[in-house]
Amino acid sequence: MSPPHFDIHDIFDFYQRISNARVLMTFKGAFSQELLVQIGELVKLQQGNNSKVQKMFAVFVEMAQNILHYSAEKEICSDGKEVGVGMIIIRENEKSFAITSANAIEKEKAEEIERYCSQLIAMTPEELKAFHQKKRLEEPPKGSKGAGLGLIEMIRKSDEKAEFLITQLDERRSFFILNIIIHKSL
Amino acid sequence: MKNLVIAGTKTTPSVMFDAETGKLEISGQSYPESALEFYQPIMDWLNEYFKLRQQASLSFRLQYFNTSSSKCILNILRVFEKAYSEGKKVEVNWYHNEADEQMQETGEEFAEHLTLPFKVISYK
Repeated sequence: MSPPHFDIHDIFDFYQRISNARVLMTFKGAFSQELLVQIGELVKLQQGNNSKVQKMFAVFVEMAQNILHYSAEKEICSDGKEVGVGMIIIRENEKSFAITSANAIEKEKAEEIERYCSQLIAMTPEELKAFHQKKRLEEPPKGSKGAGLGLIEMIRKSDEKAEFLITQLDERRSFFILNIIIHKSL
Repeated sequence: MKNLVIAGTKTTPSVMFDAETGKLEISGQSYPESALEFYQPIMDWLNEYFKLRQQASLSFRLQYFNTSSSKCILNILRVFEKAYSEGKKVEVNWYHNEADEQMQETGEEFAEHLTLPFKVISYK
């Protein structure tokens, strides 16, 4: 039985679309810690292990753990733990890799995340470094399950201006997309 | 005082703290689901250690760590900085693969905030 509005012809379109977009890897679903470790290994296996892939891996882990902890769409795993749902997609072109995360966020957080991302993206590398140093010395922000440094780190690692998009998902949730670019050449 | 020995996994570093010699080493990768939880026993051990001992040499040999682990590493370094300011004989060695510039820079960034002896050392 096929899910509604998605039949065998849609699969053909889907294949064409991800081929044209030069998708190297994508996963949409619940990002448990165990699963993100496996996908991270997969990325290294697929791309080899050089400094660029190491950088991509670092961005992947931050994105995946952000989804795990903060996605506003949750799923209960087989072990009974609640984990966040989202999508990560890695694409390439001749010059670079693009690694993108997409997930639901709470509507009340949208404005704050929007302001924070805009502020970070506007910073020069030197300003980002100083800001990172300052933030690392501070207590983690309220509601943070880590250090509250993931976004800064990802934006610092982007070889071109990082991009983000926040849009309405439903009554109580917004949707957050973050795009990081990593150049293939040194 | 007992030694602290934690076997490494794919997402947590190996920890070898020798209470007798004061040689402490953290090596491997660090990106557990909850870094705070993983590093708490390490913080507890160090706080206890510096109540009893006057010297320590800490070595990091890390290939990768995530941002929440980086916060915990900074907390460890602050324990050492405090011990140093109290006149204890401490040093930190930050080892990185020769080719891993990122890990070198990360070490240097940690060092910027510290006054204790902190060496960034490359290996082949």
